[in-house]
Amino acid sequence: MTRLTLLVDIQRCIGCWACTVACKQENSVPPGVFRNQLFLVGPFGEYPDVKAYFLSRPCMHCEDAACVKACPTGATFQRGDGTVQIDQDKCIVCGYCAWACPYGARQINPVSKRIEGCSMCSQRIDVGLDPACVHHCMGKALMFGDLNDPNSDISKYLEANKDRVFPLLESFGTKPRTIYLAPKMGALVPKP
Amino acid sequence: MEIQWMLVLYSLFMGLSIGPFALLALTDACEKRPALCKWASLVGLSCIILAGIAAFAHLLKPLAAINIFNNLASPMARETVFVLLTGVVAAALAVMNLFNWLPGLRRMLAWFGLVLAVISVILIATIYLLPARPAWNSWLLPITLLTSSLINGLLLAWLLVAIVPKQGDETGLMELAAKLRSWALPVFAVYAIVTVVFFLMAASQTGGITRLLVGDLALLFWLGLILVGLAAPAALIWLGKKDPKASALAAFLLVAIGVLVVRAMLFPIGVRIPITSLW
Repeated sequence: MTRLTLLVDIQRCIGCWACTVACKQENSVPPGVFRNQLFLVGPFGEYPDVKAYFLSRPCMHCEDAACVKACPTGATFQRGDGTVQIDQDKCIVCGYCAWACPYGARQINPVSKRIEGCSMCSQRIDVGLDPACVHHCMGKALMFGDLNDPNSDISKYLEANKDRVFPLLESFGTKPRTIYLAPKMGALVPKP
Repeated sequence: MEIQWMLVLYSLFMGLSIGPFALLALTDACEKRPALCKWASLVGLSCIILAGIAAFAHLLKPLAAINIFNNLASPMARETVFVLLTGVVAAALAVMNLFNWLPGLRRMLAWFGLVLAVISVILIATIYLLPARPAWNSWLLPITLLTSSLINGLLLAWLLVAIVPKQGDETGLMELAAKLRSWALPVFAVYAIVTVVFFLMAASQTGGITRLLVGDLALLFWLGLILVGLAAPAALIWLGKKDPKASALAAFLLVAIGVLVVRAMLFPIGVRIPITSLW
């Protein structure tokens, strides 16, 4: 069984916003609404030792997704490949999934009156392409692939950098599948 | 987080429906007071209909609501089941009271409706119990919403007894109003304490108590909740013996405003922890 996963290497992210822009373009997401959002974390420290990071936040496609549990209509569901999807025909746009998601990865689109959430670009991955954010990431900070395939690029990269893996907001217990790699430099690591 | 006014109204009206059910189940209205009984069941049904309209108005795609029972593990689906059941019981009760059918069964049905209405209010409150929203994720929240619904419902019942015209040689209405007022006092005290404690604790989770006391929520907290929603109606319920009609009406309206404020304040206080705060 495949386990499609996104990997975000914070060390490589240059904060160009290409992931966010590509996502908006690919999925017709209007201004003010995000499926994939980039955050500036920091700056920390005092001059001249100041650091900051960029944090790309797509959907975590959690194994125990709070949005899937919350959705009354079953419009939010998990596919066999592990990705969390939205069936817009079933969705009543109650917004409960957006309340339940600890990552803020769901928003109501005020233009189309529907829920926006990263589908890992299902329309692209179903035909063998990378998600738009991964395709456009010039620093290769975003990677995509099947973690259950040990020969996939993402598996190999993860194996080589496993000491930098950190789960985002692990305490919420949703078992996020999107993998983050912490920056190499300095002692600034995410709080547990 | 923006205030979701339709959800505020939905929760308010479902809470109010407890009052007419309580009046019919806990007093002798079903047996001895047909006019009061009719009005109470009609008002109870109206509250649930208004709650339903508000809930549907909250949805951006209400026509897809046919799917709402697809995932009964969802707290929202469970809540909807109970709200609908409560509505069916309220409708049956209203029809039975209007046409004076099966008088022996009415009080039993009112008890059933009361239990369903209380469960509905609890289930409405439990949908806020989300780990993603630390300020909401406390059992004080369902207790706050339940006690606020109980007091508002009881004051609605008191108001009904005070304003529904007396029928023929009907006696004992003053005693009934006094009984409802005496029930309202302890419920009000619990509601006031629980609500203030809940908001102090919730605010401490999201930006600190100062947000509530002197910050962006201060106006709602001090004016809407403490003054209008708690202090003024407490005085009116306490002094209610002198002029029950005016006291009941004023206390009901003021508490309803306070209950609205309680529900409205949940939204600005229910913010998510920013993911960038991990560092």
